[in-house]
Amino acid sequence: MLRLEYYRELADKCSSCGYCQAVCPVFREDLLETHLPRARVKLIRESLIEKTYPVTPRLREIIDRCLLCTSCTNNCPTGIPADEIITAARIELAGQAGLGAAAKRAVMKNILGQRGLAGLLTRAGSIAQKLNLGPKDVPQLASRPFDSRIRGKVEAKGEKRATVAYFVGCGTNFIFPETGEDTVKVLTRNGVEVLIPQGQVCCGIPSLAEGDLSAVQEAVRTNVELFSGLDVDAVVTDCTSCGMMFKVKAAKTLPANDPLQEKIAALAAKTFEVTEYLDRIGLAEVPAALNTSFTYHVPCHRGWSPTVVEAPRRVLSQVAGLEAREMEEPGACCGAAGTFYLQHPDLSNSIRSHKIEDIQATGAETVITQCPVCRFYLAARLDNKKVLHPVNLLAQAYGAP
Amino acid sequence: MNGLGKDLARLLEPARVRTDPEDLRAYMSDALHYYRPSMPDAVVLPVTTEEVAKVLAYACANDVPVTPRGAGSGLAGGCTPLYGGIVLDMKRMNRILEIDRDNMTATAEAGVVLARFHRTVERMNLFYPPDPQSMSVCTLGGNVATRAGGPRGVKYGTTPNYVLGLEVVLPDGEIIRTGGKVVKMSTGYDITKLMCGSEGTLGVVTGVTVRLLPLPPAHRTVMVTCETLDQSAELVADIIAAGAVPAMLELLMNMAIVVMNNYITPPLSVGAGAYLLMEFDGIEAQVEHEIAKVREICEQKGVQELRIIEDEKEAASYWEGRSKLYPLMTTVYRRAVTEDVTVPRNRIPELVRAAQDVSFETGIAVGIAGHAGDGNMHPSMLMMDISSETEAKANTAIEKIVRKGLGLGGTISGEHGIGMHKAAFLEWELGKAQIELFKRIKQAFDPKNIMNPGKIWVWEGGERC
Repeated sequence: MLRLEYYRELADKCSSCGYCQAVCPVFREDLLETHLPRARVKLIRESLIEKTYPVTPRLREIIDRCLLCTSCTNNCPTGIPADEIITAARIELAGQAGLGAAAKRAVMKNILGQRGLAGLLTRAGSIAQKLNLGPKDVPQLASRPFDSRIRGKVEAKGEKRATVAYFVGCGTNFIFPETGEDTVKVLTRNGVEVLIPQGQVCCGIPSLAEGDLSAVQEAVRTNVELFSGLDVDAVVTDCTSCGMMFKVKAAKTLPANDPLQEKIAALAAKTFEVTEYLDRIGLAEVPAALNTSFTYHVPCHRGWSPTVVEAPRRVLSQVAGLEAREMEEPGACCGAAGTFYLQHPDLSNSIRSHKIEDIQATGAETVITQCPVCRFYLAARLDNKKVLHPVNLLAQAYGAP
Repeated sequence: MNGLGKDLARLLEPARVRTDPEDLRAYMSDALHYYRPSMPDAVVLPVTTEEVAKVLAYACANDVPVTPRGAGSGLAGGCTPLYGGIVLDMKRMNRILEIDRDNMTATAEAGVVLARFHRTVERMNLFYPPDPQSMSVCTLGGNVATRAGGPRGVKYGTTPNYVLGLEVVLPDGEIIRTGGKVVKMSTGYDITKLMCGSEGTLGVVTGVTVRLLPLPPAHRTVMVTCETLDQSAELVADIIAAGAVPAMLELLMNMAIVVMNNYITPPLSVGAGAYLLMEFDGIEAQVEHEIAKVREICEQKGVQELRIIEDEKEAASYWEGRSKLYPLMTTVYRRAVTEDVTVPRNRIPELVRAAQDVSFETGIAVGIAGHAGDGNMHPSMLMMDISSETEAKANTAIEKIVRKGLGLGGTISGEHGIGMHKAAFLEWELGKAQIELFKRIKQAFDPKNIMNPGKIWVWEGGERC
């Protein structure tokens, strides 16, 4: 799967209704139909599947100019997985590309193998300079990553209700380790024993966006083997993109008959984003009051679970004094999309500017979101607000241990 | 960049003139993608009326076809650039220029997306009823060009009922303003109305002034479950005849609910023959009064269930599912060809029965789901495969249904427009003399035939001119 051939029929099924115009963040900015999922899928079908038109630099540009936000896929009435078709096209084109690209992929693979984002960010730093991005548009690495702060098993406080394995995304590990600490704190305070398995690697989403299928497969194999070996009730992550990878994308990175598929399916069935998991089991400890307000930026990678969108709202509604202020479009993209914003700084910045306006209009003191990339990308333009993960607020409400 | 592109790039910012083959391929059709797609020579993205005027003056002087385009969500092939030339993508002319509360009017550029326009006026407690089901993406200019409407047609009519004035660029580049904010006007030919439904063949609509209503304070959605499709159709006729006035009255056959169930929460049971999905609006007392009236009719008819959907989220999900019904059909069927036949409301039961007969005779599944309250039934030919045999069957079914609709005193298009798809049927409805008049009107506006050639009626020999 994730091979274009697999999507031949689906790509041809598009009814051409054009309803993706309402949800594609890139189209909403560019207002050029070529950059609409309807057209991208058609162009990919014609040039890369049916091969009736040549592959040109313009075609590559069109395929690259997609955030892989999945909004089109989540909203397509016909059910065309446009993001997967575009990913498959990138994989195909990466395979066709020259030595330069192969070298780049080798670097990426090394980086990701050793726990991704740190290396990615080193690269991002040098790109950022060249692109004249603001200093805050590249996140600062935390002084000590999460995996050198907490390891192994952390016992539940009070009566043990469940045991979970915590998949720590790269964003949390390297940029926001305190979110990892808060995740552990909030889970254990609610009677959940937390295992943090050593040897976990990047979930693979960045490589997927680059079209580097073999790197993704390696990441998936490593993580799936590691987590499958654990006797846990659930796998919890604080990152919606890692969650999406475990829940729906991992299975698609390997052939349907791969022996690993069974383990992938078993893990997918018990993978949850942390607030979603808390909402599911219910809070055992009533949080103390917090006297502040928040607005919730819903990350784009949300289609993998029906409850991940509402969970932070529902969990935080149990904190007295905490006022929720909704944006006009809480689910509109922030423009970052992994490393997309480094390659398309102007486009990303325009997408973000609408989001910032929407956030400012709420007057909320804090912005919450479950995606670390959204978090730093929004924070870079929000000097007057804190941008946090929902568990950070909940952890505050739980106070000192 | 081709010669045309180079010329155009002198008229407006070069980045807004596209001639890369990939960009041209993205503009070959609208939602009728399978019917005679055709590549333009350039795509132009104007941001002002003056730019549109410059492009048209150039096109007129150089005999280049121009096809204006909104969201490209039409179902009749209206914005397919059949003879190449320039596609004028109007979506960047997207400013709402004025909402005049004192006069209950609004003025906007043609590329404004309808859903955004709805949200903007509704925030001010104002109401713009026309609701083509592509409203999340379709544009005001496209709505004018096709005389678009939707479920609210039953109570509120369609786009032309709201258009008070237009800004139009004529094919030679001249800019005219028709109508205005006045609620009545008796100044010669009504060019405003003539432009409504002209499908880009007479000029380019760049600005639209519409009248607004006060936003009704109360809304209620009602779902009626009927034993049989025939019963639901008879019920629609009874409701209208009794003088009840729903704001929306949709008839959905069982199959429509099956595909909508992918999209709505909670899913509906699919055991019944057909459903009527209605909304009532107005002041609370009026809503209650109308529902009571409909309830009485339903009880007399012996329907399975009449349910008032109190949960607003649930009601919204039904209407959302309804609005996506066309693309939802392609989750099950390989292709859905949606017709737009509209009949006087007391003839709906006959049309529904005829559609079922046609399905039986031709062996093509015919989906019946439409704005029954205004007689606009949208029978859909549902094709399981694309083969010349199936296409021929579907075409036979379309022809039979269209003829039946005309026989019942109806029209071939209630709200989609003619485009290319229904051009062959136009003469059956209007007759030769009226089509000749169309041609003379076209000649008066556009003597060089540059505006969206090949649309509305059948062009002789397929040649332009």
